[in-house]
Amino acid sequence: MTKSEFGTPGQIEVVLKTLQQSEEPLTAEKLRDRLPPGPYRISKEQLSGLLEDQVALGHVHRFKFYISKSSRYWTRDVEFYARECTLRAIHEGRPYTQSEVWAKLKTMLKDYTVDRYKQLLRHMVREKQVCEWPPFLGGRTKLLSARPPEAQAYIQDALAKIGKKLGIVPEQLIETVAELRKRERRAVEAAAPSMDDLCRTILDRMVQIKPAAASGAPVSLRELRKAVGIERAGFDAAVFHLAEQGRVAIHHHDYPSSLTEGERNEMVTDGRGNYYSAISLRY
Amino acid sequence: MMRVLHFPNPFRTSIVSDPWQLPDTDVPAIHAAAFDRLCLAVRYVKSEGRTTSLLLHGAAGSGKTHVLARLRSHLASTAAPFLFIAVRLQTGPRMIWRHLRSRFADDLLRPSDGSTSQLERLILHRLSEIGGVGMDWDFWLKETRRMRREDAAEALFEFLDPGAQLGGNRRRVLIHLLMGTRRSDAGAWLRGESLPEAVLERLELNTAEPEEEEQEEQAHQTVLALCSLAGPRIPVIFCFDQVEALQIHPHDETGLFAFGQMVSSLHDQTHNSLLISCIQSAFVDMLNQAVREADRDRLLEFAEVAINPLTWPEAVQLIAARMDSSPSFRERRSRQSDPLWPLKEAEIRSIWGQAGSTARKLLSHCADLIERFNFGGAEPHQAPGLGPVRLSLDKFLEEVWQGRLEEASAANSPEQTDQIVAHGLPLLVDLAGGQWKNRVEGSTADVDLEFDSRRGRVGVSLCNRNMKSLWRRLERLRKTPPEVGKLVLIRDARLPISAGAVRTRQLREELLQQGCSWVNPSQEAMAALDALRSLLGDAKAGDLANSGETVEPQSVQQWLAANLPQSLKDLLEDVLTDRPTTEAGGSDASLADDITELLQQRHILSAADIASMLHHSVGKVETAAQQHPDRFGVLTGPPAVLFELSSGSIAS
Repeated sequence: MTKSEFGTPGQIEVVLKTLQQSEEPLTAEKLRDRLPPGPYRISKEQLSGLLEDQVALGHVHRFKFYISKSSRYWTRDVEFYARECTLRAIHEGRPYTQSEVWAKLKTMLKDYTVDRYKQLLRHMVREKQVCEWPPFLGGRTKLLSARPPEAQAYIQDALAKIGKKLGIVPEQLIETVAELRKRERRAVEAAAPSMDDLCRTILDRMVQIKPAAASGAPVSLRELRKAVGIERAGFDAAVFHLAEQGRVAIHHHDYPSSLTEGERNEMVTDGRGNYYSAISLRY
Repeated sequence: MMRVLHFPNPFRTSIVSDPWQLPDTDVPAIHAAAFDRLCLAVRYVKSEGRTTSLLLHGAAGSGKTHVLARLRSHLASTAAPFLFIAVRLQTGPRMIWRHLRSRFADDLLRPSDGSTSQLERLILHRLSEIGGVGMDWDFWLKETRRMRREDAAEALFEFLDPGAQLGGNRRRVLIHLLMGTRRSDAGAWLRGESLPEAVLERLELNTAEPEEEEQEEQAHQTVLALCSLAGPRIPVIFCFDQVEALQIHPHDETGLFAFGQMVSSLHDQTHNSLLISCIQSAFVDMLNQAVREADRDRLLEFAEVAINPLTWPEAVQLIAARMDSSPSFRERRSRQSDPLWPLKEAEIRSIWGQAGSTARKLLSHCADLIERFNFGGAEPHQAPGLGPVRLSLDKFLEEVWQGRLEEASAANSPEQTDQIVAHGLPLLVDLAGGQWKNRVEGSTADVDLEFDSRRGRVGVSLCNRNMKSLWRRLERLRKTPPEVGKLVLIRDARLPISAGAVRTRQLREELLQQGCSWVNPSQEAMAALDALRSLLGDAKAGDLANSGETVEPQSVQQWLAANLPQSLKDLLEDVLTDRPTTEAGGSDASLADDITELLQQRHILSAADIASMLHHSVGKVETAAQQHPDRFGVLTGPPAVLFELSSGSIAS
């Protein structure tokens, strides 16, 4: 433990451990309250000096004041704190716009400018720590949440907006949608092959395209889709059905963002950002 | 009160990244079909006496390398001999055979069971094939070495290579390696490194190095000769990994085309090889598009084998096997009825997609769950200082980069410079963005790389071979200047042109007067370029993962572009721009070479001593030292002292 004129190695160790166990930065006063009584609860002045020593050594990070007018201290750095605050702020409830999140956090994150914070958010989105939701119907602003976009939220929002325009309650709209779906399903069922037929066709075509597929060689899903020649959603559903039954294995594409939209559309997707490029028979 | 247990985390060493590495735990039922196909292919090569090839593909982290390691370990456990050559294709298309030769030699000289190299095992086995039954060939080899009976080794090679297909130099080098004489130099020759004439003479080899265009062909012939040395009954198993690393950018087909041709040649010109190529499933379409149809047919002649994502029962077996590999864990687990204890099925299944999961992702997730269990159910990031935290991408790449840089600095030698620059410089130019594009075909054999832009064309000639080869290359370039706007001659700063090489220095001077640039990249720059190509190669092949999540090459490129070390920025500028290079040329370059040569012999000298030895003023020596801070260490004094930079000082 590094020496300090403001405390013994034992006192420094206890201060650092207490800070480490805290879930957020603490003022010297609050930190002092958490120190064990006796020789470890040093005076506020001594503690402030000790903390500044540790800041200089890089063991502790200083944060600008929040509620009280004193600096705060923590063993984690400003970026870690900003990430934690962001995740807590968007953890529950509805998704928020970037400005709403900043409004919630700006008093806590005085070390951040709005631009720097926006940059951090972009990083968090890229790293998939934060999920970006597309704008709601009629809106233009993307939203942020800890959860991936939920279809339910969009449907409820859309129903409320359409109902308001037409002057009817959402329940009436839901009944209309259900009726439309029923009719569509009846029409599709009358025209489309059953899931079993579709799965059989896929398995047959795999071997037709590539005879080695019978002994486990992978087949490109792009080629298979062309050869089977049915509508996209039905094909994707049948492939997943076969995978879930353990009859085929499907191979994940790790870098879909490196592909063009056209290339992505040729693959099989689960609609949650996962794309699959190849399929092989399992034994 | 937080419960803190101390279960060892058996999931932390998540995957096998090198087929030479023994898997910590292996569940034979997983990927059994793929493994059986590989074993079948080995049997086919041995029984049919002909080469064949197969393509192994799966998603990133699915276990392709693990299956190769299992194959190697399985073959090693049997008495039947084999050669195993693992090749990561981190190279450029014009050096692909030289790269293969180098990797072949490395693995041939690698101890495969304690102290015996694959080469020694091969020779001993060939001896037992042709010599009488009951002979103790280990004893024979020891005695032959002890008594320095080179004539016995010569006679042996008459027997092994009756048609003299190996050629004089190769046979001489193999005798040195077998006898244990001048092993280091002989190994370097076998790898294809350029050796000084004096060393070649000591090895009793022909001192004339092949011309540039012949080097690739010589490497090709060496690979074929080594395969033939194995004889018809010993299979040579080539594992080509990271095929994706041959691409400079996502639409680059040159490297893949060259790879297809190389596999075809091996297929047609050897009779005892199994060629296994590993790629990501997502890359198959690209490979099919880039290679000739005939080459593709050969690539997957024996089979196309899929490494599938795990099924749930396979996942359970893998998790249980990992946990039971730790005795303390196994003891506690034996009292539980749940095969997954202390993990919970629901927690594991939270990452389980409709298509299952790759082994890497599953193991990384389980590692996190064990940490959480150890901390009494708290999320690891809630237990400061105790558990692992998934690093942000920037932090992760920063740490990986630092590690790669240290590895590259420690292992870097000037013999690698040609390979590093030939592969790394196009990647660096592509990374820097802008208008410069790598040209596929060089205008002459003496121009190894070319870059095109609206501003003109830059040719790069690699000048890192021995003095005789350098002299010949400079002579050709002087006589027939290539049709490029700017010609850059690159020679590693650690390879000075000695004062005795008067004509070579003169040729350099003449070329500089013609407008060529002379660039001496430092060890620091070479280590950074090597680290860069290794990191990008891993990312392209899907071998780079942050807590189980594959890191996209695009993210790595962006990070590298934003964090490029100064030594690489300087190299890029020296090559592509018209600014004067760090080597002003002429007498300055010669003085820097003289100082380098002196420091390589004496390591540390005062500026005054150097000045006196080189007949220059102290001021001139000090100025030269200040102009080359990446070549020499300087203690400003007074008195000023110059010292040789070591790999340790570079890394730190």
